Amino acid sequence: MPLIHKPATELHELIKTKQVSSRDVTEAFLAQIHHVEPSLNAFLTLTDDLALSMADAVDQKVSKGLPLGPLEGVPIAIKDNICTENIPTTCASTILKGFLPPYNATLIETLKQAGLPILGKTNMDEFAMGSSTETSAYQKTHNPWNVDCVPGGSSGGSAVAVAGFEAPLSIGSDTGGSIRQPASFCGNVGLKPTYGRVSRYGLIAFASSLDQIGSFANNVTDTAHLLNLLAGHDPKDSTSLALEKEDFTRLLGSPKKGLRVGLPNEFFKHLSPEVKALYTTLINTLSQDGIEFVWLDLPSIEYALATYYIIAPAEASSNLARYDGVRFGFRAAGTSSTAEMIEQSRSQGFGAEVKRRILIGTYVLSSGYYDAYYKKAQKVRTLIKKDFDRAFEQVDIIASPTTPTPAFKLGEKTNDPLEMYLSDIMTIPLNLAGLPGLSIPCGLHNNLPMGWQLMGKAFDEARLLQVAHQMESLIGFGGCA
Amino acid sequence: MISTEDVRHLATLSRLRFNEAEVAQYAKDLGSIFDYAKALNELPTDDIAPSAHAIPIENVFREDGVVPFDADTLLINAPEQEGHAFKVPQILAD
Amino acid sequence: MTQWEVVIGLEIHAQVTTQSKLFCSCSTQFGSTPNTQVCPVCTGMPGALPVLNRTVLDKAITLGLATHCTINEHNEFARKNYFYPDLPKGYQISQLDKPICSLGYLDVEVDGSTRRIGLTRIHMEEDAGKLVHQGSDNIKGATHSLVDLNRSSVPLVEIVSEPDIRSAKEAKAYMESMAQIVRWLGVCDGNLEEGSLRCDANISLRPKGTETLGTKTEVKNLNSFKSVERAILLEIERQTDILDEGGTIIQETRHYNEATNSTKSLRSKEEAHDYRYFPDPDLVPIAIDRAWVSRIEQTLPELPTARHKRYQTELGLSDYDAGKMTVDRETGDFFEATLSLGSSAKEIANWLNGDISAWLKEHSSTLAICKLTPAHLAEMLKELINGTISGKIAKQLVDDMLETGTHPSTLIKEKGLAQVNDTGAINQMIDIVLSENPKAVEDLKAGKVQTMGFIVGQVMRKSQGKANPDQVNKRLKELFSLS
Repeated sequence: MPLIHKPATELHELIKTKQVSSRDVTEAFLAQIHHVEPSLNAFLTLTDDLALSMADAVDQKVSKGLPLGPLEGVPIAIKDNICTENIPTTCASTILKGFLPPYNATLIETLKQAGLPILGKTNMDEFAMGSSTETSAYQKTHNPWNVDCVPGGSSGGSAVAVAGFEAPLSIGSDTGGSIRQPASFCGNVGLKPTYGRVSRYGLIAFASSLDQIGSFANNVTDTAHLLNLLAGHDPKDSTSLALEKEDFTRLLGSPKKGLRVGLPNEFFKHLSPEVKALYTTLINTLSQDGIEFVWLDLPSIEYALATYYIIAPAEASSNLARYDGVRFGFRAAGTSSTAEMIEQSRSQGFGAEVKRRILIGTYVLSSGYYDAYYKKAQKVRTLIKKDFDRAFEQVDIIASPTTPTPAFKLGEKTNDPLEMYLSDIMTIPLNLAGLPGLSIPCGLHNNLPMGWQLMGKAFDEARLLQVAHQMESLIGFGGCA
Repeated sequence: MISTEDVRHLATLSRLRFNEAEVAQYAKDLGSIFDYAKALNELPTDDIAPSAHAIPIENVFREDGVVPFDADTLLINAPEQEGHAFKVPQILAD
Repeated sequence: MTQWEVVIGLEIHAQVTTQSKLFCSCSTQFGSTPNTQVCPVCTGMPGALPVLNRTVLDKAITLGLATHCTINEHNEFARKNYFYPDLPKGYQISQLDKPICSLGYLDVEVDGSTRRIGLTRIHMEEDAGKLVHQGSDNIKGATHSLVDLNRSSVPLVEIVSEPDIRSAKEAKAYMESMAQIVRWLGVCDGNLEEGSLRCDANISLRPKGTETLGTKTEVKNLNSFKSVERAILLEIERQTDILDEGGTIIQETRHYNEATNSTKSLRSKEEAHDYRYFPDPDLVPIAIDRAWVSRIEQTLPELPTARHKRYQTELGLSDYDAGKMTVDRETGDFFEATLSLGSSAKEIANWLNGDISAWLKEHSSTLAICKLTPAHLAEMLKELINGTISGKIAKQLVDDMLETGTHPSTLIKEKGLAQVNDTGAINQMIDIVLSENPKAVEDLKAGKVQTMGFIVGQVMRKSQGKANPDQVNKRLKELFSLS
């Protein structure tokens, strides 16, 4: 098996035992990147030199007989909304063209410390607003399973990097499904941890109360090992959780006895008969292994999408006010006053979807509408949390399809925002509740992968990964050949 | 219903400039999104506390103390710079 | 003609004294090179996040307690959204419906009577940066402007009064009182020149005897006590003129120009503000329990007004002296410390008000930075009372102590300044003086009491001021049997 097809944990073992060098591994992925990028367009910026110098540093440690940390030497790709010092970070927006962050996100400091060579920055929907990576101001990313299809979004580039064997691991961010939905479309494992589990310091904000950094990997084991690195309290992020360090791999391989999995009726309503059949088969298969499934009602979930499309744009309209052409990023030329400069820079620098969400957010926060929209949505958010709390009194894990359909065609939904928003209908509730969730591949529909979403209690990632690992081995999904 | 007048007001508030076609398009888009959002009114929420955060955390502080930062790395990104300051066009238009 | 009642509310912005900013660890030092005290957080770099400086919270609670406010158990930060090039994030982090303190008051002395001014709220917020206009003295006519973000995110408390103020004079007294308290508490250094204390005034008029508030205007840029009074007087006059002529007041913001003593409308074509406040999702709610409040309550110093009263009733100081001894915390604490070492209150007050304050003024110094200590002052006063030194020598000593910080007894010893109380030595000097002035002796013998002053003066001169004048007097009276 070529190096690039091997999971991250295996690559790390090979490096640790001197069977290959981190440089060998890194070069293999860089070669694959250069080979497939013309057809996939997953990356916005490649950092070959940085990756190789980081790999060499790991190899030196190995040659000196120094011990390696977890996953050390295994390369990784980073979504372009995470600040990398002096390396372009654009959020796939014109308004951040040429922006060189003056600092590293906490996550990047962590990865540098841990010795994971950084391959480059991946494409995404502009400011993470989108479900297909098509709102990127720079390029369209293609789904390796079918290059006419979207990879999902907003972390489409990171999903494709792993699915196209350009990277064994990648980092994304998930505000309403931006990791789980593309993981589902691209047939890999995408994890959104509990809100506050991974520091947001240096993650360029879309919607602060919903954004959470997470990962893509080929399997659950790699995902768990990577979470061990990513998780941790950060004093620079007020919303970061001050929890004890824990080993998220500790429950892997020892299936929970008497596992009860909840299936929310609401999530199965919107499926086509064919897709529904796929999941029915899956549930039957898993039941045979002693997993007990329980049908649940989460009535307020029906309102999650509407809630999300009020709260997220509200926060975004404020978060995106700093892009004014004064201190960094794009500034429109030939303006005769500061007010005109700001207006022109924003009008030329933001794409249509970003502007749409700024308008929505401005509307729901403006005087006269705040209570009817924003405050109402915050209250419904409370109801959604309560529904989850009640459900978790009955079950260990909640499961659902990750998306109602497999990947759709490029351009298919770009003219109908509401239709596009509906593709996140299964993933959004979790962000509103702040809970951890992941998507694992569970089968093919029209030769495109479908995802199985597992949702856990807050801070219960270890359990979530345990169950995902158990189901992953029962499903036996092959991956993208 | 979102009128084109509403869209123009929102554009002014958010410092965006649109042509007539864009204004009409956004009025239509926002209209359908808010129509969809109306569904929230079906839920009684009088006694429900609003959630501004995903996870309830309180009282996160830092101690008062200075940590210097290399400010030159910030100015590198200035679209226009004069001396050690960010330069902007005149505030009042002629 | 209608008699108008003036209704004024003040909004005071006080910079909270801290080493670092409200939400990041940049220095708050005044007057540095532009954009040297900045970081990703206070320049609004993408991805940067705020973390609250705990000291600001403690000081806001301190001020709230000192002004009889309710400290709100649950308070939170909200974003106030508006665009301006000196506002890096496009929003100011402030507090709206859940401020740290609400509903307090401040008692203000005006013309010998006490006026109670209600406080609506005190909240924490961050300052904006600074715009420096180029090519012109002000914003108008400037060719371009420069943005300096050193001040961005410097911590402020905004103190909002009820519309309880009835005259420009009261407004000034209230502002002075508030300045005294924030300085006294160490919440703010009260430096008006550096903008540590700024004030906006909301002013309206209504027919005397009516309750409904008239249309108000907001006058901004009141950066000295004098400005507060003068700008409000101007605005009262302007509004009175309009109303007397049957006109109506337009709700607007007016900018006060100290140099020309005039106000100008800031009305512009700009749309009405809609700040779209909402809870800041990057910051978490603050919960202040009873224990926290008590902890701060225990550190709360005696406030200047209470101390002023106590000095009058317990120490017998005059209203003037008591006021002087509580003018600021350093004077008050210096006074207290000297008092605790056994000196008399009146003596300390006399010296602090007199020679010491004159010296400090002349040398542009303060009690905090000069070399005089309460222990030294107390020692000097002891020597004065027990007659080791004369009052004249004491004046000399104080200057030396202020200048060099030397202990008074060392100075007395080194310079031989001790008063001569030795009867033998004094009698000897008297004899010499008498032998040199036969005419005076004749006069004294003839009972001319007035001549005694001359002789005493001569003896003092001979002793370089060290002879105890009481003893000289006594001896002369004995010699010439004068009474």
